[in-house]
Amino acid sequence: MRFLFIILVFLAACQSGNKPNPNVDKKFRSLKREGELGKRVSVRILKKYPRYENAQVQNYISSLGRSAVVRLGRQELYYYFAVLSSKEAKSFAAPGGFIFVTTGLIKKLKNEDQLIGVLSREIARVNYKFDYKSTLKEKDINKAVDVIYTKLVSQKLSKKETHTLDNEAIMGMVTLNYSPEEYKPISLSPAYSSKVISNIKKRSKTTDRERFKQLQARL
Amino acid sequence: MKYFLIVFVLIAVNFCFADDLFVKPRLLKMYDAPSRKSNIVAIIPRGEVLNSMRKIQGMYLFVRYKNSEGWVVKHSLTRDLVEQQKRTQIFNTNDDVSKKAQKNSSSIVDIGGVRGATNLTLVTFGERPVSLYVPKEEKDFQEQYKQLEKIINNQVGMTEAKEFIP
Repeated sequence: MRFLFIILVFLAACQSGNKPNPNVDKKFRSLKREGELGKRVSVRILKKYPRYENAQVQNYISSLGRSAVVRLGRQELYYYFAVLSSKEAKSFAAPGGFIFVTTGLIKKLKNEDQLIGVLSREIARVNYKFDYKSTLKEKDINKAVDVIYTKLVSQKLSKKETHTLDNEAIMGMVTLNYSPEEYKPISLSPAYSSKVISNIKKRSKTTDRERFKQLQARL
Repeated sequence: MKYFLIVFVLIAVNFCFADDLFVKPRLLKMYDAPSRKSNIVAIIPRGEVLNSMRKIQGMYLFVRYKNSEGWVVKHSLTRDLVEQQKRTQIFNTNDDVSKKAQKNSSSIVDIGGVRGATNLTLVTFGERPVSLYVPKEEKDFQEQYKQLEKIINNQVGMTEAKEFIP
């Protein structure tokens, strides 16, 4: 009977002996690192392209971006969206979820569908960490920041990466009920995008939202 | 008597190792057969406890969840309660997490907040505006850090944003 009791106690001890998983702490550390990199890269972007000072424009982009993020973003991140003042048509996605769009780009776009396309592409860029995956383990943070910044500004991506981003952007537009057809003119690889779009069964009409025209009028 | 004891021990072993497994992904699909093409019986949210029925077929495990039984991908489950609790702390909102966030607010700012924990982030960013720490080597960018502060503090709340795209 004693023997049986000892076995039972031993088994109960085995069951309760759960050790903490170091992978979770690792995840916290890597998120913190990503945030730090994002902050520093964003600051460099802001030096070149300052923030556009208009609360209504900023609110619009923040609302649009955040509502997209609910369905497309990484669960553990809190994304930030801002409009930058520049005539160049550019968009950036810094590590840690900092996403920027220039006024030049917004003026160039035809409708909200295209803007959602750009935003979901940038969200995918943060999700896949294309620009900074290799630098996350770099010990010298300044070196890592320089590498990411030059990569972001030059907008250099491999063929595979552009395909992935285009695909994610199109899927994002479909998820959010915007017309994927509108993505064609702004895609990174038009041939690939039109192929993906032709395979999509679910279609939705281009949204004719007054708010986008109002936004453009404010720029 | 000996045989009885052995049988009893075997039953006890079975009872002690009755597997309580926790769901890792945000949503886990439970199928009626061990195949992705089969019908979905239930969709189980993260952190829920499943009882393993000790039947494995390929990458699928037969489990019981509330009143239903079915097959789930076994890699999506964890036995590690501590890991699961930490995950829940990252993603869910509760007072403890909120307190922890206030205590470690600098790290939360660093990682850009925790999006899944909506209330937590709204409380942290809504009530106490974020002020960014400017490292010594970044003094040339002080003005840009102020701009970044504005960007972080002037974001629209999640509940408001959700209504923007119906």
